[in-house]
Amino acid sequence: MRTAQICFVSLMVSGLTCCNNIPDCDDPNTAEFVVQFVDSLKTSPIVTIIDSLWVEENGVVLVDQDTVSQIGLTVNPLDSVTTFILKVQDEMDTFSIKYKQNQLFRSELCGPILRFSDVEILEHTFRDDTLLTDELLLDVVNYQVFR
Amino acid sequence: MNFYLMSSTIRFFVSSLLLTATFGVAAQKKFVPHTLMVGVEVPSIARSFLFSKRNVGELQAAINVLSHHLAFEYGFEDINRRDSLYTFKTNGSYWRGGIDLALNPKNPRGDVIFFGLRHGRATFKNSLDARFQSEPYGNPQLSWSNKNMRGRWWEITFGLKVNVAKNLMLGYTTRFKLTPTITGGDTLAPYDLPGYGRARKSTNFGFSFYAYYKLRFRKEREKPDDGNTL
Repeated sequence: MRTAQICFVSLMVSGLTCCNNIPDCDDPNTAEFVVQFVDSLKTSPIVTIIDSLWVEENGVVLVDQDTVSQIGLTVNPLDSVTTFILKVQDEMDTFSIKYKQNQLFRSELCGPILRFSDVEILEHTFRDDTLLTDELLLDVVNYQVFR
Repeated sequence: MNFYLMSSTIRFFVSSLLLTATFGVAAQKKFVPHTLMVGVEVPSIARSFLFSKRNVGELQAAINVLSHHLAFEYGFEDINRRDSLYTFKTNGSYWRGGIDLALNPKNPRGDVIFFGLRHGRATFKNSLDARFQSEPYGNPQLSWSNKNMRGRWWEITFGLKVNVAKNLMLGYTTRFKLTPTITGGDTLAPYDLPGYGRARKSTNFGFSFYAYYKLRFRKEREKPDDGNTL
């Protein structure tokens, strides 16, 4: 019976101590739609002076007087479409994006994360553009605008 | 080998082994059940009293097939995770069925070291209320839920049951859980699968500690003592 007793004690100890995972909470709980400005030859990003960029639905200004080659835009989690208005050198452009939401609970420590996928450009007034990826991921360019 | 093929292979292997074990041992000798063991998973009850966010419980019934046992387990889980930004709830029930093959069938005391297989199934739902950091839209409070999710998985088990008093046994089961499949979780990805553990992990370990009461409804034939007292 000694073998059984040894098995009993050792496996109880291993069973009680085996499962301890440390979650990774580095990511924010939403990702942004990243727009990059690229030259008309489609070769390299260009720095653009943005007068203003705002959300059409609620008028909230996301960018005010900034010089950038790319910008991250927060999409509306309460809707499946968000329309942005971009003003550069007194020229206004509008673009609407459509997306699907899904949610993932990461862990008790990290909480939930909101993910956006199946992104489409519904309409835009840019001369030329391209959608690179249809999922919102951290620091990944989704959309290029050629100027 | 892709995951689906691997999963199917494991299922086929486990099913074959289970059927062979069950009917093989019963066919060798006359199958005369004499003892039903009814067990309660003690730590789950303790956790329910100690931690308000978890209300869990599990029962096991096992009937002998010669020196082996057919086991059936039923449990429920009501898990409530929350902090200042979210409340995430999962609740549901599960069952597992399978066989425990005794590795020491001639033990005169009736103590059992076993290796076993289980198939588990769960029915459950989840819901999430969360405030997201999305300043342009007022950091909105959002809610999602899945009301009818189902899960299934397989387990390879190993454990021990020891007689501690007349009709009373203590024992544990260690579980290697694998090949989970979940349906109905389209709206909100499941985090917990009742009876299995973390839903996104392709394998899980589990540990159950039971206190059993033995109900003898027929006299057991005496086992020959051949010196193997393991």
